[in-house]
Order: sequence, then C-alpha cells, then structure tokens
Amino acid sequence: MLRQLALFFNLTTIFLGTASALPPQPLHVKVVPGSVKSGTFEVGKGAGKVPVEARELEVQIELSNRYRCFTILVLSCSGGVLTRQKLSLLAASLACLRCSLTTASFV
Amino acid sequence: MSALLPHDSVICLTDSKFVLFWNGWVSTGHILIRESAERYSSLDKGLARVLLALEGWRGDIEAGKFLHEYKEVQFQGLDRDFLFARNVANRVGPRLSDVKRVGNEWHIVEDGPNGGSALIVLDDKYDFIRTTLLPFK
Repeated sequence: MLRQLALFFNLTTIFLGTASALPPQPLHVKVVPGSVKSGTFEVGKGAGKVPVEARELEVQIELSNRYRCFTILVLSCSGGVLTRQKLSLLAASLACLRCSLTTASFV
Repeated sequence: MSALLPHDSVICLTDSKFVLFWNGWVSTGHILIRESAERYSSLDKGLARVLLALEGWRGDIEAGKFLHEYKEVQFQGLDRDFLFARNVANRVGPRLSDVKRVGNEWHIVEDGPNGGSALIVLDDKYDFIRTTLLPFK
C-alpha cells in the first residue's frame, strides 16, 4: 500500500512537473482550421509607408452559453532599435483592436 | 488585409511601437489612440500571447466591454461648421485622412465634411498642441 502511494505520488509529481514546464494553453479559444493567412501589411512610418509581416486568422471563443468568432490581425516587424536584439520582433496584438470593435457593437 | 482595419483608422510604426489612430465608430470631434509595444521572439509567440490574452478576457467579451482603453483626444479649435456636415439630419463628422510622425510630434489631418482640412498636432504623449486649418485643395 505504501509503495502504491509512493508510486502515485511520483507519477503526480512528474505529471505536474511536465505540465508546469509547458507554456499555458488557452482552453476556450480555438483557431478556426484553415483560416490562417499570411502576408504583408503597409503601415505609415515617418513620411512614407513600410511593409510589415501580417497574419490574419479567425478564432472561436467559447463563452458561457455560446460561441463568438473574431477575426484577428497580428502585425510584426523588425528594425529600428530592434536590430540590436537579433531575435526580437515587434508583435502588435492589433488583433485585440478587432475584438474591441466587434465587441463594442454590443455596448 | 487592410479590410480588417476599421473605417477612418491609420496605423503608424515608430522605432519601438505600433500606434493606431481611429476616429471611432461615429466620427465626431475626437480621435482615439492606442499603442502597442509588445515584443516577442517570433510572430507565432506573439500570436500565442494574443490567444492567451483573449482567454483571460472572456468575461469582458461576454459583457460586451471594450478590451482596451483608448486615449481620447478632443479636436480643439475646430467649430461645428468644420466638424459636422451642414443641412443633413444625421451627424456626419470629419474623415481621418493622414497621420505622420514629424520629429517628436504626431501630425493628424482630418478632412471636414463641408470641405477643407485641419492639421491637428499632438506631442509624443498624444497631448494636444495646436490645430491649423488648411486651405481648400
């Protein structure tokens, strides 16, 4: 009995250890399969415009008794001060902008 | 992809952040501003962060709240004659025409519904500096 308990404890520890090592995953937010598109997007910079990397996708959010779908746009760029951080990109969650807009219509 | 952006909005990029300028759902006498300077090591990681953020905002989404606070800047020095269309029943406001970063200032150009344009200048913190009416094109 004691050995079984010890085994259970060890397994639990391993499981929790593994779970905590992974980044948290959203439980109620799912990317709609096949909705992801990649491309470039032009934004203003100084007096002109520059292309930035863009990703567009649809997500489905499970609410208490229904689902809501949002279209998300994420922009990223590298350059400027960010060139010092070789691996860094600037990712703007403009997505949330779209969510704000969609949500605002219900206010 | 630009179809995703709301009407009357412009996105600008500085060396460190994206800034959205938006006249709002109904263009009146103000502009809404929001900036993002979030950094991730890849676009995928940034996107994953967005999904997690949405997870955390489920309650607000359900309640129909705005997910972000926007800074609201009033168009000072512009009267109703410039801001709103004359002789129409519904309120038609100015159209956001352009936004440029000039030194440490933001130069916003709004086209009035009755003709003419206005240059609204904000400082680096998006505080109002001055308004200049531009000549008719």
